[in-house]
Amino acid sequence: MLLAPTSFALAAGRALAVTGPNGAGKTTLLRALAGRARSTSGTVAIAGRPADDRSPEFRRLVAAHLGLPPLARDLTLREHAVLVAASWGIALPEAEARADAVFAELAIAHLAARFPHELSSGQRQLFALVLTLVRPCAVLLVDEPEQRLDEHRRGLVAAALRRRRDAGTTIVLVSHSPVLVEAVADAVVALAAPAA
Amino acid sequence: MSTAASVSTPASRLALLRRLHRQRGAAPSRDDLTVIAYAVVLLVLVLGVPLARGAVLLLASAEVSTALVAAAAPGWAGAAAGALLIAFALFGRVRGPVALAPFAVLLLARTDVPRRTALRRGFWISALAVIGVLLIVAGGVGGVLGVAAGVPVLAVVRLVIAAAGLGLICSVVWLAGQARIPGFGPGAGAACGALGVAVHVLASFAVPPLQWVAPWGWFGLSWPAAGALPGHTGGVLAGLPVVLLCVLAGVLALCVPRLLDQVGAEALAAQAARRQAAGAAAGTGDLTSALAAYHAVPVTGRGWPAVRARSTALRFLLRDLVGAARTPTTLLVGAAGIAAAGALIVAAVTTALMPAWVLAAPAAALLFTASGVLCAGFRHAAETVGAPALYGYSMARLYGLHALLPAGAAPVLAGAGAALTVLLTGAPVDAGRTGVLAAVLLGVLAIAARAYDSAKSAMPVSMLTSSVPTPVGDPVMVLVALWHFDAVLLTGAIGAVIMGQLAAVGAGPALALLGGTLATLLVLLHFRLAARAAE
Repeated sequence: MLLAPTSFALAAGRALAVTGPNGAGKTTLLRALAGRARSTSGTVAIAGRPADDRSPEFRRLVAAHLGLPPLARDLTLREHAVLVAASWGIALPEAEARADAVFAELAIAHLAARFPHELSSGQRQLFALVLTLVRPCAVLLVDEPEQRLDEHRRGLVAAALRRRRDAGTTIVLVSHSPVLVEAVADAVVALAAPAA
Repeated sequence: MSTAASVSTPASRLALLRRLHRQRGAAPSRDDLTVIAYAVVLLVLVLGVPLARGAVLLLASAEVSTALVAAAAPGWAGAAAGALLIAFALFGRVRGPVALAPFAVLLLARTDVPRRTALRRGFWISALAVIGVLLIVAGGVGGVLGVAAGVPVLAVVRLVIAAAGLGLICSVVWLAGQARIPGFGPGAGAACGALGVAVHVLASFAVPPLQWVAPWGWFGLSWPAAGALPGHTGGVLAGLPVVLLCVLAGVLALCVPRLLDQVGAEALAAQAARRQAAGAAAGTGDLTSALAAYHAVPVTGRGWPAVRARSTALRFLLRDLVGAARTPTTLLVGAAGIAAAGALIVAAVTTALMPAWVLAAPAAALLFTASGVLCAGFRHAAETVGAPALYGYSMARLYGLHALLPAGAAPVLAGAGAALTVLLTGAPVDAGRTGVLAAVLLGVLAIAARAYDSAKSAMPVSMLTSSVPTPVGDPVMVLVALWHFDAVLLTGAIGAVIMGQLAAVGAGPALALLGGTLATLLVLLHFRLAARAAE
């Protein structure tokens, strides 16, 4: 995995978009921020802490959407979301309300009683976002949330991210969608194409 | 014009399609057939002959042949027939008797040729295979009993005919499962049906005349028992259960065309695609993925409250229980398998025919296999390793929460199966107590092995890239199989040793060995999870 020297600082409640062609290292950067990839040089710090997924405090701080999360085939979508929310210490009634709110936010409340194998690829993408958005966090890392979504759904995702940014969540968004970047980001880091 | 006329009937069109299918390379070549024949001959010589010889010697032994013609034998034969029918009803949804290649589905099932015509050959080939296997088994058992226990030839003939009738009934039930007839295949209806069969079988032990009301009971009544049960017929009525079985089989055979019409092309295509995917995965040595292609998906209980408990431990216990119950057939088969393993453990303790470990090893392996339905939580927990944090629990806590259901249910079910067997067979109290204790201990062992197995990473590619050809095949494939099935083999081996300790020395050494094994498995699980996280 290669990532060209990249440097930025992001204040709380701000959103940064990372753009660039395929292979530029956007997802690698996000994985480094999520503490999933160690950089051979340089430092990554979030809220003054080194990015390390092994730290429980860091995991509580950072929620990441890096592809489809592992799903339990025997739970409905709502049960997944409630279980994830409750696992972060949210009381059950609040976890249920929180899950319902995120489903409604992304306009997939009608899918809440489905099992994962009953979803289309676009619906899976939205559900992956539900599982990321339903848990509390101070920093949200999102990798190409627009994948497999139509224009309307992209608008819903943009609105959901903007709402969280306005509520004080720091967001790093990797995207190929200028509309999404325009709607969410306060700043943009454009990674260069990889050397041939 | 002549071509159009030659393919105008469904039969001639099918013949043409089959010829075209063969011509495009779907049929095995002469080289393929040679390799297959070579493999079959090797398998028969290396495995088949010793196994057959062992089975005949076992059946001919005084203890087994006496047990097979004892008064209770018809009840057990009826139970086996009932279990076989349930298995076929369930198996149809996974792999029906009409098993076509994906392209053959297009050629045979997606045309306007009636499916009763297009699929007929496929069904009857499978049906004849089932009937043939049952005929061979019944003929073999009957023949040995005729020589070793003096069973009359006429009774053996009755048994063989009954087996053929049962085979045909099984085949039609199998087809009904594939045709998605309500009540056949995974679902609450089939689970209720299976429970009904189980209750009837158990009731028949207490009230033997009840055997007359069900086909599996007719098969039991056809069994050549020396000491007849009160409901068991002799004399003129001895052939009546066989006649009833054959009449039922004949009536059901008349339903085959209508059932074939009910088989959906989508279901055929889905089964074909799954078979092909599993075959491709198995061909590359990825047996885990091959088996995963057949994992059940939820079919019921969408509205059941799975995550409503406020206590975290209770929430995970219910979540895993409800999740397992959403595949009711798998749960039922798993629970029955665990209980059957308990029964096998009692047999291992009580039999004088062979050392305890000979039955204890397969019993422990069966416990491991059957408990899989309770351990989906382990697999899910393992999948979250290496992904961005989904749950707010440490991995150790997540595993602990998902262990509540299997660690509680598997030992209890195994112990219950063992206790029921002790009661039904009237085994000696001491041996029975040892059997129940062993079943509980092996239940705990199986769950620990399941947790250890769940964290296994992908197989090293180097295992598939090395090859050592020998006249009896490539031994590397044995290593591949060992790598995939290490947990079940380990469970079988350790289970046999624990069982041997329990039977020969006592509970202390067995418990110490179990404790050491559990600690080792947990340490290995920790290392496996750490390795996954670092990938």
